[in-house]
Formats: sequence, structure tokens, C-alpha cells
Amino acid sequence: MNDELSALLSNLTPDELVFNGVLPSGDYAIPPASREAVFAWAFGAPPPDEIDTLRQGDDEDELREAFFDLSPLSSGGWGAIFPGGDQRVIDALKDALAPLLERRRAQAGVKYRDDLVFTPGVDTRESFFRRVGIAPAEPVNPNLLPYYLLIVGSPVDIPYNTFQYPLDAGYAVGRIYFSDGKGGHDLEAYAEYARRVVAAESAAPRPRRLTFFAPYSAGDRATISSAGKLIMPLREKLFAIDSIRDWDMPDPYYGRDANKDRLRTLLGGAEMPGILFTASHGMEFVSGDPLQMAGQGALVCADWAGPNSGAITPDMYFAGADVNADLDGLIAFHFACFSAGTPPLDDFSHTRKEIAPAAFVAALPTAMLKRGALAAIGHVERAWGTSFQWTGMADAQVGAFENTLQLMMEGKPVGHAMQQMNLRYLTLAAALQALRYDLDGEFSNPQYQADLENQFAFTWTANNDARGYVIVGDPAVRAAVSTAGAPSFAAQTPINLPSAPRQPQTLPEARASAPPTFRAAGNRIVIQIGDQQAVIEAQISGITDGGTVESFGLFGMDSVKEVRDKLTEAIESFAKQMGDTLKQVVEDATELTVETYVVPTGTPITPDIEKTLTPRASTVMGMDGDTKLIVPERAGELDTRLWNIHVEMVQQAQTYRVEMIRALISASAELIKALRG
Amino acid sequence: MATIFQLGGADALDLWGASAPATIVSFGVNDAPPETLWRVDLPDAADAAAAILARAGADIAASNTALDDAARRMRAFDPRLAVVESFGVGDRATPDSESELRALLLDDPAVVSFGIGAVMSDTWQSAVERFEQFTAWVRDAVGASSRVETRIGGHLIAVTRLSVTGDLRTVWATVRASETAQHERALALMLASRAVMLRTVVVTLGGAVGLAATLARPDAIIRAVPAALRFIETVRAELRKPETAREVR
Repeated sequence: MNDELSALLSNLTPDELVFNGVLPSGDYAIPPASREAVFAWAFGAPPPDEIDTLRQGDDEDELREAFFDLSPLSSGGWGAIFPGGDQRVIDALKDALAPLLERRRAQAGVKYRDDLVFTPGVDTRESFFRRVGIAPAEPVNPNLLPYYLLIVGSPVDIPYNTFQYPLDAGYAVGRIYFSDGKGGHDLEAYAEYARRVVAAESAAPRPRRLTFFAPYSAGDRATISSAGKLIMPLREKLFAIDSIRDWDMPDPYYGRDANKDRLRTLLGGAEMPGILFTASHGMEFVSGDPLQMAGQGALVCADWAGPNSGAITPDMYFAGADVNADLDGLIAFHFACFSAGTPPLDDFSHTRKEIAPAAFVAALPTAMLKRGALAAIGHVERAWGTSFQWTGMADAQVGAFENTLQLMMEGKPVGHAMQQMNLRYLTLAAALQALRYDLDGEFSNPQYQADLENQFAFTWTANNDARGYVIVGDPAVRAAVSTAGAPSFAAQTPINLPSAPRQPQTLPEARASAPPTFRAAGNRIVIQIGDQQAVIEAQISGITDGGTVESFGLFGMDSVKEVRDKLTEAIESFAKQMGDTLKQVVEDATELTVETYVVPTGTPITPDIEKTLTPRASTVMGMDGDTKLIVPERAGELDTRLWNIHVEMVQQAQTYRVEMIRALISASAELIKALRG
Repeated sequence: MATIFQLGGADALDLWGASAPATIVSFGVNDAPPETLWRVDLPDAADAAAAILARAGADIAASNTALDDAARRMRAFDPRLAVVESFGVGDRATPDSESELRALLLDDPAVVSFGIGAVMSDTWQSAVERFEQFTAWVRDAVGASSRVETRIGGHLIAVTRLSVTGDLRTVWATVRASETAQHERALALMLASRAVMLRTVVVTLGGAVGLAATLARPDAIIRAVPAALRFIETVRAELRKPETAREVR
């Protein structure tokens, strides 16, 4: 237990509601407020005296149990929803997203759809569902409308309030929107995101680590609450779950340790985890402020000393412009106001005042996705303490966060995991409706009426808060973490190809992650992996030619010379081997070959038996991305079972080669540093 | 034939037994280039087999965590700081990781006075031999072609040959999903193990460079390299203790 945080928590005012948003002036966007103030703000009238508690939980449990397991893409399906109106735009978006769409098509099989559109100014949620052929109230039927739905477009075209929120209640929904700054789409950004998701799903580049980041300061009641009543109990609860015991959950970065430099190490630096969970203020600007688009929802770090410490400057918060490193494979969850986006109107005040000229997706998660993050979960509009506190209850209520993180850590797609948050919204919506019904009655007991009205105000706020959690990114992505029990590819949904192969000249996965290319120039080796280029500017020849450690002047004491000679020999030998291997990779790896053989039934595998067999499936990928395939057939049809096995081996081979080259580069660089002493 | 790694040993990463081949083993061809063999023997019972692979996967994840932790601790390490505090805990029977690292680096009379100097020369020599052995395994694992054999209930169900440049050829005796998945996991385990072994060398060398910078002596790097590897392996052992496994960053 953090003693400082405990002391600060004890000073908080019970039942005071806090909001995780601050203005550039350093003032709270909304000051911590009593229930009376919240009531007045919500309804424009003073509240009655007492607030009662609302029972929760039973409905949620029943809903959870009743839920079918739609989590595998082969079961739940996958679809993309494009903004309707201009087919050329849709076609361009599909082209840009092709690697991702192809991968999802292979995973979802017949439950894949990329023909879904929502036309701004024409469609309503009702008309969308009617066109799909399913009533909005029907259970999810992935054969008609997939469970996983990726909205591709701006919240101006496909709105949050009237479409995404209600759709998200039953489906696993995410959104990507990369703006070109001129009202159109940045197609290169879409292509980059698609490429990196596909690559990360094959490579599983991140460690199995969940890191918490929770700045707070002594005078800041909002962040003391989010650190002490959200992060602290949440981490403790996750520790108790057996199924995720192979995850590392280091001590959270609390208070002053949660500064911007630290966040930089977590977002692309040496400490980047598989899942990052932050709880902080999010920056809020007045509507139309020149900095609003770029800065709204930026994460305020401990560099800001808290209320009454003066203005907040950009070096105190982490915005989209601060993302300057690759984040491949990262999934982030940002509890902060506006951390996912901003609607045009205030969702909480009865005045419904304008808070932005138009709805937009926050710049930070967008920038993160461009640099390889798989998804960033955040909040549209303000995030409230009602997310983890309930009036009249002392203990933190973090069950939805706990369940969501547990599912993500167990390898479930983020969209499925987020259904735990959505269930909370549904429960609150049902409770709100019930309270509305209650309030329509005639009251003979004024106190009873006052209680109901208080409950209604609180529940209304909690409901609007709960619905604001959304995924920026593809809802089908999973934590791309290093192996524990199962290797990354085995943890993924089996790939289901259509019954007949489409044009088998190029394999989608192969095209998406073409093998690295190499170019030697003197002592330099230039390695290109996708659009990443690594240059080894090292004395490779010196290593491979057996350059000696003595030449670096490392010896001085003869008394243990024998031991040192052995050590020197080990280092030299290792250096030579690394150099030779790297050289061989550079010279020989012009293509990648994967072959799959099957011995006849009853025949044992004997040495070199493959020389007597014909490969049933084969993939040969050239460094230019061209691919030659032999596709297995049985009775004139694609042998799907064997083909799936083969495709998984292809993915493994691609992953292996890229990772091995990276590791060799890293080893060579360290070796050279060590030899130079 | 280069080294044979057998899942279930404790030589490499506390996960694989390592041995040199006594004779030509199964696929061996006399004039073939050296080939490292990775053997994964699993029981018939699918649950038990899955548990073995899951445990091995968790060990790999723990090794990666240990490497992160060791790298961080080596960066923070200053051998010039007094060691008294480390030894001030009365019930500690053995010196902690940092104390041993300090002793290995300094070979310091001050350390001798705390009772571990008497074993220093042996410790240092064994650290050197360990580094020599470990790098030899990594050379074999990375620099030679590999063959991964998966047996279930003693029956060889699949063999994958992996060239240095990543070409991959698999011969299956089965296409049953439950069995092919085991071999795929075995292959992934082997690849992850190789990556961790190579990363161990990277962290060793990187850590040694930093440690050497704190030592004002001409043989600093030579002294630091085996010390760094020993430190990493000690940290890994620390992490395997259940009471500390979850708390170390």
C-alpha cells in the first residue's frame, strides 16, 4: 500500500464526485462537486436531501452468463462499416486496409463483411439494422451482422451518440479515423495501421506485462481517487486471478513517478508493456480553441503539480504530437476525460452546450495507432468517478475494469473484453429507465420522491459516463504478447479459408509481411523490414575475420591469464558466429521457403524422408513480395485442414526470420560495444 | 550434429537439458552440416501435454521478465557503494544478487571480510565457464540449422527442419489438429527459447559494458561479462521464487 496515497485518500470528502479533466489554465474543467451541484448541473434544479444506493450486479451477472461465446472470429465474425455516399472513398479505404481486411476475412470466413455502410444524413441506427436484416433488439447473429465491427470514419459521418454507443451495447465495436486534415482520409495512415496490426499479430512483439501509470498530486482530489480507488484495488484484484498469473504486473508508477518522461519510456521506450493502463486527467480546451484538436484528451502527467500550481503547458501532458516511437503490439487503456474523443455537445449538463465545433477522435490514440499500437481504449466526453465509485459505498467498484483487463490478458479480443464495460452501461441504462418509470408515479411521501430523484440524477450521470468508453482501433485485436502457455499463433483464431482458394498467386499474410531485404555496403549492412530500416555500421569483417580482443587492450593481469584466455576465446568465437550468421542471412536470404510434407498413413518418419516425398503445400516468398504457392488438394478441393496448418507454419517462419534478424543486429551491436570496451 | 536440447532439463534457461550427441541421432547424416536438435517429448494425455508446454511457455515469459529486471538493476548498479546494508539482514544465508555481482566485479578484500571472499576465485572461474558454455549453446542454437522433433507417447509425430536463414520444412505423421497444435507449440517454444538465449547474450554484453564503465581497471570488460551473465541467471532464479515472482519490476 502506498502510504502517501493512503493518507491523501483519507482526506477525500465522501460522496464528492470528481472528474478527470483539467483546463490549460490548470483549473479543473469541472470542480469536484457535491451531489447537489451535480443534480443542479444535470437538471437545472436543486436536488432533494438524501441519496440512496442502487443495487447493481444481479442483472449484470445474468447477462454475462447468458452471453454466447462469440469471442473467436470464426464464431463472431468481423465486419467493417464505411461512411456511405461516395463509393470511390469506400474503395480507397478498402484498398488501404487490404492486409487487415484479408486477414480478417481469412479468420472470420463466411461471417466476414466489408459491405456495411452508414450514410451520413440518410441513415439512422434503425435503418442500418433494417438494411442488414436484423432488428436492433435481436441477439447477435453473426451470419447477418458480425459481432466484431470496425467503424472506419469520422464521428461526424458516423456519430458516437446515435450510432456507435447503442451499437456497442450489443456488439464489439471499434473505430479508426485517420484524417488528412482537410476533411478527407489519410489513406497512408490506414495502410500503415493495417500493415502493423497484421505484423504484430504474427510476431507477438510485446512482453506479458501490464503496467499502470497513475499520476496524482497532494491537492488533486480527482487523481488521488483514480490512483487510490481505481488503480490500487484493480491491481490487487488482478493479482488474485489464477488464469493470468504468468503476467508481470510491476509496481504502478504513482504520483511524481508518473511523469512525462516515464510515460515516454512506456510508450515506445525500453519499458513498453503489452498492456498499458493509465489513470490521469485528460486535457480539455474550450470549443474551437486552436489547440483543441491536437490536445484534447492528452494525458496530464505528474509534471503538473496540481490545482493552484499555475497553467498547464504542453511539456506537462502527453499528446499525439509526443508519440515519436514505434508502439508495435501495444494495447492501451486511458482512463481520462476525452482520451478517445469529443462529441460536439456536453453530454452531462442539461444545457447541452457546445464543447467542440464538431465531433472528433482524440489525437493521442490516433497517433498511437499510426505508430503500431493495436488499440487504445479511452473515453469520449468526460470520465467521471462514477466509473469506479458508487454513492454511499466505501469500497471501490472496479469489477468492470477488472473483468475487461482479465479477458484482455487471457488473450481475448479487446472488443469482446470491452463488453464487460458495455454490460455496465446496459445495466445502468436499464436502471435509469426503471427510475424514470418510478418518477412518473404519484408520490404521497415527499422523502421517497426525493430519494428517487437523487438516484435518478446519479444514475443518469453514471450511465452517460459508462457509455463513453470506446475502442480506438480494430475491436478484434488481442494482446500481442510473448509466449506463455501457447505461442502467439496458436492463441489466435484458426484461419479458415473460403471453400475454394481465390487467386492463389499471393498469400495475403505473405504480401503483408514480405521478408526483409538486405543490402551490403562495405562494412555497413542495410536491412529493410517493411518501412523500417536498420543499418549495422559495424566492423563485421573484423569480427568474422577473427579480430582479436587483445587489439582492444583488455589484458593487464597475468595471474588469471588462463581463465581470461578462455573467456576471450568464448567471446571471439561467439562474435565470429554472429558475424557469419548475419553475413549468411544477408547473402542467402533472398527468399523464404516453407514446405509441408505428410507421410503416408502408417509410415514412420525416418531421416531425410522428405527427400522421397513431394511437398503437399509450399510457399516461396521472394524479397520483392512475390509468392509462389503449391496449394494442397483433396478430391479436387482445397485440403483446408492441411492448408491451415501450412499457413500457420508460414506465419511462424516469417516471424522467426524478422525476429532473428533483429536479435542478431542487437547482439552484434552489443558485441561491438563490448569488444571496444 | 551440434547440441541436443531436450525439453525438461535445467541447463539452458532452466528449461532445456543440453548435451552433445554421442552418436548420430535419428536424422543425422554423416556429411551434413551441423544441426541442432530440439526434442520435445510429451505424454499421450492431451491435458498433461498442454500443461508441460504451458509451463515451459510461462518459464520463457519469466525469463524475459528476468532479463528486463536484470538489465534495469545492472544499469542502477554501483559497485562502489558499501555492501554492509546488503549483508545486514541476519537471516540471509547467502549474499544477494547485487552483492555477488559486486564481489565478482571487485574481488575486493572488503567483500572477503563478509565471508564470501573465500569462494570468490572458484565463483569467478565457474562464471567464466558458464559464459563459455552458454555462448557455445547460443552459437549452436542460432548459427546452425535446427531440427525440432515432437513425440507424443513416444511416437514421432512431426519433424521441422529450420535453416539458418529461416526456411522451414515440416514432415507430419499426423494432421489431427490436437497433435499438430502440439508440434506447432513445440516449434514456437523452441523459437522463443532461442530468442531468449540470444537476448540473454545481448543483455549480458550490454550490462557488462555498463558495469565495466564503473570499474577503473584495464580488464574491466573481461571481468564484467561473466559477472553479468551470472547476475542475470541469479535474477531469473529469484523470480522463480513464488513470493517474489510477481512483485519485481
